[in-house]
Amino acid sequence: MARFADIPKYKEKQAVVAPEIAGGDQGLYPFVIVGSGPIGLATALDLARKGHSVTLLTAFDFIASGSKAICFAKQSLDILDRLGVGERVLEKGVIWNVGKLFWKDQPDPIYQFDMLPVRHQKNPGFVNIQQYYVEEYLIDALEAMDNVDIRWGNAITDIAVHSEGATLHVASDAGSYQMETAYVLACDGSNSTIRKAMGLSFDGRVFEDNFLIADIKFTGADADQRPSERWFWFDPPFCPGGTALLHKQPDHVWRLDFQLGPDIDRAAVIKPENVEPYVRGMLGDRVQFEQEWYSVYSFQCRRMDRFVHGPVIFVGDSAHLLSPFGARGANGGFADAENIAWKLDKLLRNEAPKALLESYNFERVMGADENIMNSTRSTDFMTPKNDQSRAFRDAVLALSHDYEFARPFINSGRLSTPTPYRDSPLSTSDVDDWRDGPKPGCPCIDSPIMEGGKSGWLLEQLGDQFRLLHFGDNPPESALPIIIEKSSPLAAERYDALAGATYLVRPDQVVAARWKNASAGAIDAAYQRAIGNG
Amino acid sequence: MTKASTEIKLNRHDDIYEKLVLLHDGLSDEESRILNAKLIITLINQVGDPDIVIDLMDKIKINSEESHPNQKNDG
Repeated sequence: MARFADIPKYKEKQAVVAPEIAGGDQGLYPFVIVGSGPIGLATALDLARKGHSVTLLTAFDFIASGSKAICFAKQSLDILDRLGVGERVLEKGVIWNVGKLFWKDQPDPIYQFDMLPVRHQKNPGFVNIQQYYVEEYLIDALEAMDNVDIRWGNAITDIAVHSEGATLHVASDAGSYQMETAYVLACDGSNSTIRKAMGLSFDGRVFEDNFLIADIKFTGADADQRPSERWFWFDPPFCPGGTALLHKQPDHVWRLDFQLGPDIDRAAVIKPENVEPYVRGMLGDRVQFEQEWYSVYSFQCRRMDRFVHGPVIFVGDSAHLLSPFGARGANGGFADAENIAWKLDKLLRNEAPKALLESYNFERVMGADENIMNSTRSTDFMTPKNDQSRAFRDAVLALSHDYEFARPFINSGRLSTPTPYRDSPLSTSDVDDWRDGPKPGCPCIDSPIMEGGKSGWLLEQLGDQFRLLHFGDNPPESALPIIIEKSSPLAAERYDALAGATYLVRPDQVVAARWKNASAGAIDAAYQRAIGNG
Repeated sequence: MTKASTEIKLNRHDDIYEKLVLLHDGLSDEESRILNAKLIITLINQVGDPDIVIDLMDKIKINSEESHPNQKNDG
C-alpha cells in the first residue's frame, strides 16, 4: 500500500479480500483483534490455540522491519514458549551477560558487571532478537492453524460502540465494509485508531530529547569476534553531554543508540555521512560496517486511564507507551496479551462472568504503572533534568569506580521482570505461614523436573489452563486438573513445599492461591474467586 | 580506629535516588546547596560513629581528587 511507503518492509504479505466484500454480512463475530504487531499476533495465537475462531485485522500488508523492540525478557520467552514459538526465538536470539559502563573519555569501564544467569530454569533472563523475527514466527504458527483469518491490508477507519458490542468500519483495496463484533481487542499500537475514534485520552509525559538509532551490520573479518556485551556510555566524547548504547542483535547486527538533545534537524541527522562519525567515534576508525537502518526517535510515557471500555479492550502500546529504557514496551505488552487471552477465553466459554474483564484492567494498569515508573527513573538518571540531578548522577558514577556501594544507584535501564499483582481481586490471601515461594498474584517459578523418566521443566507441565500444583503425597480432592510433583527437591524448595503444599495456578501461570494443607472447599472458593466470582 | 564499610548496605536504591532528586525540585542553586548540607549533617549524626565519618570523608576526598580529573559539573 502506497501510504506505508516510508515504512521499511521485512516481508510482503498478500492483501486479503474480506468475506464481507464477496458474500455480504457475516453476522456477529465473537471478537476481533486489531493490529499485527507482536502483541496482536500473540493474543491471536493464544486464543486460536484455546480453540476460538480468530479474525485479525491489520492495515499493513507486510511485516515491518526497521528499529523496533530487540530485548525480550524471560517472562516474554515463557509466554512465547506456551504459544509454541519460544524455542525458535531462543535459537535465533543472542544472549549477553557482560555489561560495561563507560564515563566521559576514560578508556576503561568505570564498572563492569556480569548478568547472573537464571539458574535451572528453561529460559534465560532475556534474549536480543529483532522484532520482525518474533512477528514472523508468530505468523508462521498462526498460518499453520485452520481457525485463523489474518486480514492483511484491512484497516479500521472507525468504531461505534453499542449495547451488543461494537460496529467496525473497515477499508481495504477491495472496498469498505462493516463488521459486528461482541468484543474488540485493540492491539493497534501507540497511535491507536480505535482509541482516537473513541475520543479516549492518553495522558503522560513528553520527553524532549532526541535519540539516533543506528542499526549497523559489521562486515569486517572480525565481525564474529566482537564480544556479546552491552556497552553503555555516560557523556562520551563522541556524544558530549548525552548517553550512548551498544547492543548486539542476531545476524551481526548491532544497535547503536546516541542521545542527541532536544533541538536537532531530524532529516539531516540520519544521513549516512552524518551517522558515520558517531559510529566511528564509538567503535574506532577501523570498524567496517554497512547501514541496516537509521532512525531518530523521541519518546513519551503515557497510559490510558482504563484499558477496558465496554466491549473494547486495549492491549499493548495502544494502552501504554514507555521510554525504551529497560525494554518494557513489548515485554509489558506480552504480559497484557496473556492476561486478556485466558480471561476472554473463559468468558466466551460461559465459564466466567463479565466481571473477569475488570481484573484485566486492574492487573495490567498495575503492570503499566510499574513499567512507567521504572522507565521514567532510568530516563531521569540518564538524562538529568537539572544541575542538581546531574551532580547526583556524576557523584554516583565517580564513586562507583572505587566503591561497590554506589553501583546499585547506576540506572542505565532496569530489566523488565513480571509485575506482582498485589491485592488482585482474583487472588486469595495466604492463611498459612510461608517462608518462600511465589505469593498469590506472583508468577510461578520454573524448575527442572522429571516427567515419565525424562527431564523436563515445571512451567511446561503447568501449561495454559487452570491447574493445581501439588507437592508431596495426599493430593487434595478437586475437580480441577492436578499436577503432582515429587521428582525435584529444587522445585519443592522453590515453592516452600518440602513438607507438602498445593498451589492454584492460573492459565497465565500466576499463583491464585496456595495452602500447606488444602481442602476441597478452600480450593473451590479460591477457583471461583480467580474466575471473577469473588 | 573503626573503618567505614563500603559494602552495599542499602536496598531499594531506585526509590531512594528518585526521592533524593525530587527533594530538589523547584529549588534554586543556593537552596539546593543548603538542603544538601543539612542532609549531610543529619546523615553524619545518623551514622553516629566519628571514626567512621572521618574515614568516609577521607575516602571521598581521595575519590574526588584522584580518579576523575576531568569530573566537573558541566550542566
